[in-house]
Amino acid sequence: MRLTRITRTGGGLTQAPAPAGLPPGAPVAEGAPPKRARRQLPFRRSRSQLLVLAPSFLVLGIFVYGFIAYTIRVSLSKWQGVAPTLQVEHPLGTTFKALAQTARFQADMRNVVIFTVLFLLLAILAGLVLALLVHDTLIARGLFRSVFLFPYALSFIVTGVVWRWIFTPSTGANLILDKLGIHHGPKWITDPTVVGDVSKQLDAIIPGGHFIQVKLGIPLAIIPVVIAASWQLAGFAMANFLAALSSLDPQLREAASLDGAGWWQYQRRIVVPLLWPMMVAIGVILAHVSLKSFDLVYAMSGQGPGFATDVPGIFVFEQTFRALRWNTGAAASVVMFVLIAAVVLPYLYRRTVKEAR
Amino acid sequence: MKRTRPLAGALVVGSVLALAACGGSSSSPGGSAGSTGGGKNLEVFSWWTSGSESAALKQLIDAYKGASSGAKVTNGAVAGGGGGNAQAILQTRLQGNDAPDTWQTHPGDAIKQYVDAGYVTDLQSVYAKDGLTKVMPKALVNAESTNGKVYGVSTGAHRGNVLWFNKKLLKAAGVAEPRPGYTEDQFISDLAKLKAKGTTPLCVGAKDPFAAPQLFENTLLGTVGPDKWNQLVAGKLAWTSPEVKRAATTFTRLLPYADSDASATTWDQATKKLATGDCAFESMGDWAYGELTKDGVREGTDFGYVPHPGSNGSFVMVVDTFVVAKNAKHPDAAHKWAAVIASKAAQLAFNKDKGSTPVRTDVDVSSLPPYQRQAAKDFRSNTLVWSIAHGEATSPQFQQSFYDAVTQFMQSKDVNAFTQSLSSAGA
Repeated sequence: MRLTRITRTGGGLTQAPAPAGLPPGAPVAEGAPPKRARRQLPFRRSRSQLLVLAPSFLVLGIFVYGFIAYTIRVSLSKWQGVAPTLQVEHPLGTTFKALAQTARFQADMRNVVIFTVLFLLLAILAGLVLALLVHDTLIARGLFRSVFLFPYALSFIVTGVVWRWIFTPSTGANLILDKLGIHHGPKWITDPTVVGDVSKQLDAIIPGGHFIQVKLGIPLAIIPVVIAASWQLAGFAMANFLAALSSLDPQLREAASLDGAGWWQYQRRIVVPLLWPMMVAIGVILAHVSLKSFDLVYAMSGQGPGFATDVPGIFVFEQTFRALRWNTGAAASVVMFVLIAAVVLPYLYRRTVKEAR
Repeated sequence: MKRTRPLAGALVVGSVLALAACGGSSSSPGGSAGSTGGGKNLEVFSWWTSGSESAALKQLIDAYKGASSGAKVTNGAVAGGGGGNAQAILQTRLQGNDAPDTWQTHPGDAIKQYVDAGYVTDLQSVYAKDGLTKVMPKALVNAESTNGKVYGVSTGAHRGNVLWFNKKLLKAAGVAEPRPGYTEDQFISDLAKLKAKGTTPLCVGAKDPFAAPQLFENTLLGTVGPDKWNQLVAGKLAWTSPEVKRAATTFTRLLPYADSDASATTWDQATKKLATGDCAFESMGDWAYGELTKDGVREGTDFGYVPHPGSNGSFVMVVDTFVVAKNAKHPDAAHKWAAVIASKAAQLAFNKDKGSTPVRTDVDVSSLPPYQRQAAKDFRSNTLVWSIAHGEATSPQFQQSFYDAVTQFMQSKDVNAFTQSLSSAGA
């Protein structure tokens, strides 16, 4: 369900140059009209507009912001077990403190940060390369575009199961490696190794003694998951880059070649800098997809060996619905929410407030 | 570029909002998967959706329909996650005051939580009418009872502590076939022999969260025995006691022999590996029996079984139970259901398909396959203990912490840290 939403908005993004492709009610749907009009938005302009917006404000208010508030409330309660209770815990924040000291949640935080960084790098890079190639291809451009976008139409569960088979050491990709003469291929998603452990150094800095209970480094098992996620979402990045590329003035290229710039120089010095805003936008979208990832990891590797691929999403699900620790589940959700807000809010602020000036 | 930037920005803002909205709503589970079952239908809520499970459930439904003419049943089964998904939906429905008439759960703490929260009604009348307390093991009835009243009717008992083996692989490695009374030391030396022959000695389906805890649980029972086991789960013996540490050490001695693909293998894949000769042993509950026969291998010639090393004479119960909602929409029908599924005929038909053992000790099991006859015999004569890994012995909170501790321990192999985390797991 999450995916269909992305698909829909993604479809809109690919049509970026055509104003008709805008979803109704998007903040800049008023276009780029005189600045004064924009400043008066959203409430002064007319009552009918407010009326039209009211139902969606109401629905958003209850089902998004109301539930966020409720989740925060539950995270401060004693609620464990089947019977709901909103009785406040003493002292306040006990659940959060216990959460921070849970080895598994520490591993989750490590994993989600590592996963997000690697995934953004790989997906954006792959998307950019694909977009440049497709854009400069003269034949069958539509075909290539579709081919690279197809993985995006798959369910994360399907992707997860198939990539699990590929990255199972004795039955998957290693069989090909074996034929190529590499007899002991990587252990992929079954590898519990964490490289670049800095927990000891950090423990020395953080007061309060032995706080970090997991190795803080890069869990190798997460790399196959990054590959699978990038495979699925690189097409989305490509589609957005293509939309931005198609809006570039063709004369730029002519001017560049007159100045003696080759293909590579043109792409690097002119195209990529011009694509930067789009890159940031894609980065924000992918980062928040990655921070709340659940289905792909759940189907592909689960918690992994020693929580090497566990993510907060899985933690929340298991704590809430298996262990019936509603307060712990809610607290972990709040942490996820803060992480996502830390990525999305600065971006929204820059887009809406700064640019309005 | 300048012209498109605001447009692209608008789209991004729009999609971020849409995605954020989606993220918000997806945190509350959908309640639509379970049908609300209006009209005169009895709604039966379970997580039995796989082949043998749904066939077994159908036996119960048919028995119920046969017993009360014109009755209709809404089968509100929810697939996936070993009941985790069903549990999620059931929680939502209970809180929304939309309880199914009857639902599947486990005896022990799971039932007690429903009783304490006032969601279920007692079934004293059903037990009294058919004299059920006399034909069901005391340990089972106790686990279904709170304050002297019984709240659940069980359908069948699976055995958790079974060690399955591939006969041909053992023979090829010159390993004698295990017999009841097999010890943990013999087991480990046999594993070493198999490994020396290049055979994967032990399959573990650790992709499923319960499988590694299941192996530890069986090792624990094999080490401490049923009496200490019961003291442990009752909180009368500390998890940091030397017996538990010894079990944990034995567990670490087993791990080097586990399939290196374990963490990417589900329990049914692991069982299939045993069937196809890709590994020699698997310690798994007897739901593996149905999986093995489905994979086309035959009991006696291809595969064999013994109680997990050291646990001979104990039967780890993994039991499914039905409870009746206090505010059931069809209370009479729900009580009728409880009575029907406790009947001899329904117990036999159900367990034939499910591969488990009838919990009624007066059911004639001679029509069941040899493994199930043996299991029924053991069920009626062995010491019965409850499973931790499957949630009967402890609270769901402890169960989850038990899983997490085992996952952590498999990598750290730190016995003291492990037993320490188990002793603080109840909270």
